[in-house]
Formats: sequence, C-alpha cells, structure tokens
Amino acid sequence: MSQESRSRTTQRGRIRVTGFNAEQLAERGDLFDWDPEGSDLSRSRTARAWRRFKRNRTALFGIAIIAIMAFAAIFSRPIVVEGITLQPLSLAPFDPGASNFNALEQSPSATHPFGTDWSGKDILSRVMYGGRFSLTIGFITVSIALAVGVPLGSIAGYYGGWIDEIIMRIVDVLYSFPFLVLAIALIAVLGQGFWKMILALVLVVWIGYARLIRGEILSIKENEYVTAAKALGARDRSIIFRHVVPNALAPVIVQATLGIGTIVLSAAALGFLGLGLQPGTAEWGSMLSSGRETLIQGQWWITVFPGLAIFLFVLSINLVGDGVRDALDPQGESDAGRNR
Amino acid sequence: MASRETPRATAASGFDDLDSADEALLEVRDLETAFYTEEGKVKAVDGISYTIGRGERFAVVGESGAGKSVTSLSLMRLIESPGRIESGDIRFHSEVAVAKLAREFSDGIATNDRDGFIHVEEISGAGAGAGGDPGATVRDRPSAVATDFHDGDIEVERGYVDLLRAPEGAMREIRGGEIAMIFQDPHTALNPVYTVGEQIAEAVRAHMDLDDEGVRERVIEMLDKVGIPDPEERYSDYPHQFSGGMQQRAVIAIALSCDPDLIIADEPTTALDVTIEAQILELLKELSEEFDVAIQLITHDLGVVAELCERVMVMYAGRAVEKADVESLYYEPKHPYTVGLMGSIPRIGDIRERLDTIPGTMPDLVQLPPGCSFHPRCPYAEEACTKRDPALVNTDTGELADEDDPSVHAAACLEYTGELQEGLDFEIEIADDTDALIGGDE
Amino acid sequence: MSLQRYLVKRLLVTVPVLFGVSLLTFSLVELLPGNVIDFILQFQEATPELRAQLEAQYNLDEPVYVRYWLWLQDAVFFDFGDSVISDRSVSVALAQRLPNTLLLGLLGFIIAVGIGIPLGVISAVKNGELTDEVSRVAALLGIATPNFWLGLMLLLVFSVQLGWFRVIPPDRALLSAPMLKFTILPAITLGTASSALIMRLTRSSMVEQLNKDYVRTARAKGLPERTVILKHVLRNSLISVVTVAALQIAFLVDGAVVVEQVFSWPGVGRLLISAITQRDFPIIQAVVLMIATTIVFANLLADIAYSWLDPRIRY
Repeated sequence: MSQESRSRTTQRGRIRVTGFNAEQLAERGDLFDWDPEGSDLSRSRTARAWRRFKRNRTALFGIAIIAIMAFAAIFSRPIVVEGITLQPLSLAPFDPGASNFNALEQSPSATHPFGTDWSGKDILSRVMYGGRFSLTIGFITVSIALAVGVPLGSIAGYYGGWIDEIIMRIVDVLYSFPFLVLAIALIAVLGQGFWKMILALVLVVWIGYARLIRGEILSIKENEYVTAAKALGARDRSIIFRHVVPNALAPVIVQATLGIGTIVLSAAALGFLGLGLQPGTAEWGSMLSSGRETLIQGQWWITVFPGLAIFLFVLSINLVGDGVRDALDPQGESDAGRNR
Repeated sequence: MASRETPRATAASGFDDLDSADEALLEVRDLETAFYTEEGKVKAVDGISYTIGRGERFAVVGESGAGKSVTSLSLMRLIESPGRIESGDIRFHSEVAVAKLAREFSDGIATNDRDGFIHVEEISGAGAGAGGDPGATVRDRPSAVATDFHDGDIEVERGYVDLLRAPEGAMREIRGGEIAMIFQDPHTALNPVYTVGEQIAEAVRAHMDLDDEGVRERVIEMLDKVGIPDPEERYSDYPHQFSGGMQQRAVIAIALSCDPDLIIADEPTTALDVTIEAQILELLKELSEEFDVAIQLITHDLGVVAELCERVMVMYAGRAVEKADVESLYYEPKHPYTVGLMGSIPRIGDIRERLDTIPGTMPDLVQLPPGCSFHPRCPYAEEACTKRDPALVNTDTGELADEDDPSVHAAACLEYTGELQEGLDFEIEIADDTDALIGGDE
Repeated sequence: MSLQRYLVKRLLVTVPVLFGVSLLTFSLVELLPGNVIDFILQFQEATPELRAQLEAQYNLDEPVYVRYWLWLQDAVFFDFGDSVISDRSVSVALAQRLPNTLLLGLLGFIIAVGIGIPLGVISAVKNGELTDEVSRVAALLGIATPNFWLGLMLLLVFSVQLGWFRVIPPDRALLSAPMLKFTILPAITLGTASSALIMRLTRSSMVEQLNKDYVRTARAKGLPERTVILKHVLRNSLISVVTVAALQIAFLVDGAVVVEQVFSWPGVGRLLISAITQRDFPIIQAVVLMIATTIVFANLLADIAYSWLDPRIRY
C-alpha cells in the first residue's frame, strides 16, 4: 500500500466498496431466517389503544359505575312507547312520582333507604329514575354537538381563508360568554323543557369541538403526509377523510367523553336553579333546588343522595375520559424521549 | 481571568510517550445501561469499552437505536428512569476535576485505607510531602489544593474521578465544568424565554468564580470565539433571533465557556444545512486544537467523522463492533457492518445501478438475534455466526483487544478468530491517480 | 412582529368580537316568540304605564337595525332602562350588586390559583410518586363535585351542624369582618373546582416542558435541579398557565351564579336568576352584556400577559 494512496482527504467518493452483496442474503438457507416473535408494535393503532384501555383499572371501574347507573335508570320503571312495552321491569321500590302523605319528610329507614321528601315521595326511586334524564341529556347533547361542531370545524380548518374567518369569529363571540350564563340566557328565550334544554346546551357546547378539531386539522395539514398524498393526486375529500380526520379525532373523542360529564353537571345546575325540567320532575339537579331550605330544617338526606348520584356519575365519566386519553396517547412522546 | 498554566504545564511535562495510559483522559470499561419499558428490558448499551486521549477527537458511529446517545448520557449520568446504568467503570483522568472535587468533597477521596470516588495519584508542591499516599495527604488538608480560583501549596499532578460512583453534587460540578455536551437540534436545546447571553452566563456562574463583570466579559469572549459577529449586541438576543448555524455556535459557546476537558457532541450537525455543517465542523476542530479539548463525536454520518476525528468506534445494537483510527477504518474496514455502511453511501460517478444498502433494520433491542447480532443482515454469515457471539478482538492477532492501546484495530467478527470458513469477500477500491486496488481479507 | 404590532392586531380583533357580543345580547329579545311586550310582562301586572315604558325602551316601532343602534348607544353609557319588576334603573341595581360579586370572585380566584399552581408544580416534579397520585385524585374529586352540592354540604356541616358560620349573609358593609367571615365558605366552594382545573393544567404543562430538550441542556450544564425547575421549566409553563387562568374567569362567573344562589349572596348572579324567572329582560340583557364584555377584556389582558411572557411574540 503506497503512502500516497493513504493520504487522507475528505473528498467524498474516493473510497469504493465492492462485494458487499445484499442478494447473498436471499440466497442463503433457512438457517439464517430469524424472526423475532410478533411484537406489539406491529398491531394497528386502535388495537393497541384498546389494549391499553382495557388495562386501565380506574377507567374500567368508571365504566362499571356508569353501567350500573344506566341499568338502574332503564329498569327502574317500565318503558312504554306507542303502546309497546319495551321494558317491563320495575326495579324502583316506589313510583317516583307518587306522593305519600303518610310518610312525609322521613329520614332514611329500611322502607325508604334514602328517605322521603316534602310530599312523601321515595328518594331512592327518584334517584334511580332520575338517572334517565341526566344520562340521556348528556349523551344526546354531546352527540348532536359533535355532529354540528366536527364538520364545521373541519371545514374551517381544512379550507381556511374566508370560511375559516367567519366560523372562527362566530366561535370567538360565543366563547366570550361563560358556558352556564349563555345556557341560562338561551333558556330565557327558548323556555324550559327537555328538548329546549338540550337545544340550549348544544348551542353552547358545539363551539368547543369545532375549535378543537380545527386546531388539530391545522397542525396536521402542515404535516408531510398530507402533502405527499396531494402530490400523488388524491382528491381533497379523500385526503380529509383518510388522512386528516382520523388523526384529528383523538383529542375530540377525549373531549367529548369528558364533555358528557360537563353537560350533566350543567343540566343539574340548571335544574338546581329552577331553570330545568318541569317542577317536580325527578331530575337530580331539580331535586336539590329545595336543598337549602330542607338542610336548615335538618333533612340532610334530600340533599346528600341526589348530589351523590351526580358526583358519582361525573367522577366515573372523568375516569373513563382520562382512560381514553391515556389509551390514545400515553405520555411518551417527547423531544428527549428517544432514549435509545 | 485566572489562567490554567500551572497545573497543565506540570502535567504535560511528565508525558512523552503518546501511547502511555497517562495520556488517557476518559476510560470507559464494560458500561451497561438498560431501560425497563413496557415491552421488556432494553439493553441499550451492552458492555462498551473505549478510551479517549487528551485533546483527541473520537467518534462513535452507528444507526439510530444503536446506543450511541445513551453511552454519552451515561457518562454524564443523565440517564433517567426507566433507564438505569447497570454496571461499568468510567474513569475521568482530569487533574483539574480532581483538584476541584478534592477541595469540596474531601470525604470522597480514596486513600490506601479507604474507598472513595476521587483518586489522587500524584501530587507536587510545597505541601505535598514525601508520603506514599497522596490521597491521604490531600484528605487531611483539602483546602490546600490549588485550583484555577484558589491558591494552595498542593498541586494535583495525576488522578482520576470515578464517574459512576461520584455523588450527584460532584457530577453537577463536572457537568458543564469539565465535561460539556452539545446536542443535535440547537433550536430546541436553547430555552426560548431567556437570552442567549444569559444562558451562557448561567453556565459560567455555576462553575467559575467570577464577578458580574467578569462573567459578562467571558460570555462575550466565548461568543466571539465561536464566530458570532457583534457579540456585545447578540448577548441580549433571544434564540429565535439566531439562524440555525448561529444557534449551534451559541450552544458550542455554552459548552466551551467553562474550559472543559471533554466535549460530547451528539449529532451536532444533523439538523443543519450541509454548508453550515462544514463550518461547524471546522469550528469544532479549531476549538479542539486551540483549547486542547477532547471531543467525543456521536454521529451516523461517516463523512462527518472523516472531517473531524482521529479514532472511531462503530456501534451496533448496543455493542462496539469495530474500533480503529480513522484511516484504518476507511481504508481497511474489518467488520461487515462497517463495510456495509461505507458501501451504502451514494457517490458521484457511481456506475452501480442499485445502491448496496444493508438489508433489513436494526433489531429490536428487547429481542436480539442469537449469536452475532448482525448475522441476519450480514452477507457473509455462516452457521457459526448464529451460535457464537463474537468478542471484540485485535484483527491482527485474534486476541481480545487491549483497551489501553489506541493503535489496535479491533473488530467483533468471527473472521478474526479464524472461525469463518468462507471469509469476507469484499474489496476496497481507492480511486486516485495510481488507481491502487486494495483487497479485503481472503 | 413587534409587541406593538401584536397588540394593535389583537385590539383590532377585539372590536368585531365586542360588536358580535352586543349583537347577540340584543337579539335575545328579538328572538322572543310572539309579542315581545306580552312575553315579558306575562308574570307581572301589566299596567298601561308599564307597557308604555317598555315600548319606549325597546323602540318597537323602529326597524331592527335602528333598534340595535339605539340600544347600543344607550348601553355604551350604561343606560339599560328600568327594571320591569322594581321600576328602578337597571344600572343602579347592577352597581349595587357588582362589588359583592367582585369580592366573591376575587377570593375564589385567589384560592384557585393559590392552591392550583403550587400543587400542580409539586405534582409534576414528583411525577408518579405518592404525592402526585394523591393530588391527582384530589383534583379529580374537585372537578367531579357539583359546586352547588359542595356548597350545600359545606353549609350542612359547618353552618347547620357545627354552627361555625351563618347560613345567610349578615346585613353589614361589604368589607366588614362579619361579611368577610361569611365569604369563607362561598369562596371555598367557588374556588375548588377552579383550583382542580388549574392544578391539572399546570401539572400537564410542566410535565410536557420537563421532557423538552432545553431541560436536558440545563442539566448538562450542571445546574442544580431546583434552578432547572423554577427558573427554566416553570417560566415556560407559565405561558399556558396564564392562558388557563384567564379562562378561569368565565368559569368562575358560572360558578358565582350558582354559589350566590346557595349562600343567598346578594350579587349579580342572584340578580340574573331572579330576573330570568320573572322575565325581566332589561336586567337579563344588561347582566349578560356586562359579563361578556368583562370576559373579552380579560382575554385581551391575558393575551398581553402572554406576549410579555413569550419573547418569540415580542420580537
């Protein structure tokens, strides 16, 4: 080896390697085919998320509580629609609407585990039955709000420009009103009642989802795989549905789950303030509206049990929501996280 | 500004023999670092040993996931849960560090009778006495040790700090002060809410005993040294007001500000343009020579290595697979992985139709292949390769490589212990005027 | 862009939002079904004088845009006409109630921030340890508890059973000792949910920052951990915390409406609720407009603080 050829220069291209033949690998026998056992990393994202969720014990506990409450709500009293009995069972010990003037304001006992109210109605039955209102208001409101907010937010985020500006200005204006205050104002205009309350709540809550998904889409739009799909000639709509939306949906799903809790709390608050359903309805919040007066008279059970029901439900929904969030994005992504 | 003449001068005069272990600045032996993850125990670093000499520029090369960064973070003891340094020995032969730590952590000085993380091997000066236990002498009178900022009648001539056994307080002194680190993305490495000047000043204040005026002067001097124009003005600018290349220079200024003996540069140019890359590498080389700072460069880019470094270690799946000086590595690569890396670089004038890439990917470190970790991707693998895990051996003798001898060219392949039947048939061609053809083994 | 240009830009955006807010508030009356006057007076004794007063107040014979303009002009000078019920000026009624709500809100805010931020920081630093787990559970409980129920429970235990506090506020000056003592329970009720939210957000913001590269750089410089956390991480987290603190104002207003009802606190929230049940729209509109405008300005202030905290916006 001559010294000159060893003179070092960093000019690329001087040194060439031959004989490192990748095809030789393919020609080799089975002896060298070594495959690590199927690792988790190859499964689909939803499958992995589902697995993580299943392992989260607090989230499962939350689901159990919600299931129990839903069960109690459905089977407390028969459900009859258009003369067809969908559900015949009556798990609630008493009729939630039946007054009993022989058992006024009784503290909890064997017959009435949660006591009775000012007109003798059994509180346990009312709490069980009352779940119907809270749960349905929660789920229906969030569903409708998603159906409105997600498309609007997606359009605003993806197309940008004019449409985006207009939608965002509307969002900004609505966002300047506090949640409950706006709902209250809308109820003042719309009036009280089950569907009117849902409408008022939907009008207040859709904004959050629109904003969220718009933000997600904006950041994903920058992402290179969208540009790649476009470069390949994919149509706008297919780009949105196949690439952008699935990624943007994750935080929205988390927010929607937690949103059910917020809606239930708000509906109960409206009930407490006397702006909810018809007076006398066995809705948890409304049951608390007479709380102040009865508390002072010492009838703690009237306040404790309905409130406990609200608390338990919202707690469980939050556990589930947190579980969904952890399943979809375990806190691993960081700058320095690539510790290999 | 306090000068470092005195300790340095005495130290240098004792070493004429470049191969002597006394020239070693950093000795890493059998380092093992693992991460306990959901998927299992990841052995990110599985028994790495290497030595870096004073002022030497050493490269650690490998693909992503090979364990290069983890090695450096282990040195600095910056590994956090779920990671853990499992075992190993890291000796930092810096008299400056020994002197500083001896003063503050006198309880940690090892003597003939006691254990400790500070090992004092040779002292001089009026207070040194003639005793055979320098450690004990210093332990008795720690405040007499001379450093850059304190006078004293004991000079530390030789010694080392055991980095894996040092307490956190001592490591904090060393981090930034004696061993500094440069990271890959300068944009995220700098805190966006503080000025660049402040971020350098912070380091200076932590390690150097200067007054406010002195700190500011030093910062401006550093900014100037790394080639940032108008340093007085730029002192009060924020990171986002600098370009990428300038940001990296600022990061280098932070690293250099406290006169470290070693700078670890983790992919310092990967996030930069090629033209800026050349400037930064040039800067690092100049600074290394001017300030006698050793550099441990971590990279996946063999071109960068050639520009800057003197010796190289190639890593694969947490192990060292080849170690050599740069020339030997480039002109006479020994390990098939190294050969593959070099062959996969596209070149102008290449007449091949397809790029000779290394097929497959680095294995998941939780489940390594049996035998040699590289065998599933190696064109020359034989049955023996699936059974035995090759040790890092001296390619001339086939014996286990001597860590203390930097001139050894070592590779972890059964070829060099004579166990392969077919051998490795690759060839290295050097295109120059004489058109010399240099063949690979057998 | 420079700070000035950023602020001007923000101000320019605020103006249309304010217009939108006023338009929405104005249209609350426009959207009422049927005859507006009949609707409003449904629960009152509809004397002819009252009808005439309302007709004049709402300028019903003018076209919509004129009505809006006239209403807006008056609103800017705080003239909202007279209340339907009490026949007093709406602005006077508001002015009497406002300080009470402000006091309650301020105390609630102090509790929320005073507990939320430190707890969030500690929780983030001690990520995964017992302190962290306990704090997170506490925060979860704080968020799930309905504030009206919490207030009622506090009343039950501390006022009714233990007798430490009165059940309704004393009839004294706002800043007198008995009044201030009374505000303890309502302030705690108001601040709890908010502090839970702030704690969670501070924690997640800090955890996110703790994973950033500049933290690694700071540690590699050999800085003590306390400096890394308090000087580097917290400063960056504050940016999101300030945004959240601003959002809390709307949240606290919502809470105040309910808490005032529980504790019979004579504030703006209680005024609003009684106005709703009586369809006193002059009051309803005035209160809603005032609340929304306050929040718009609070958000503007938050943006200013945010731009001051983040040099990337300033320069």
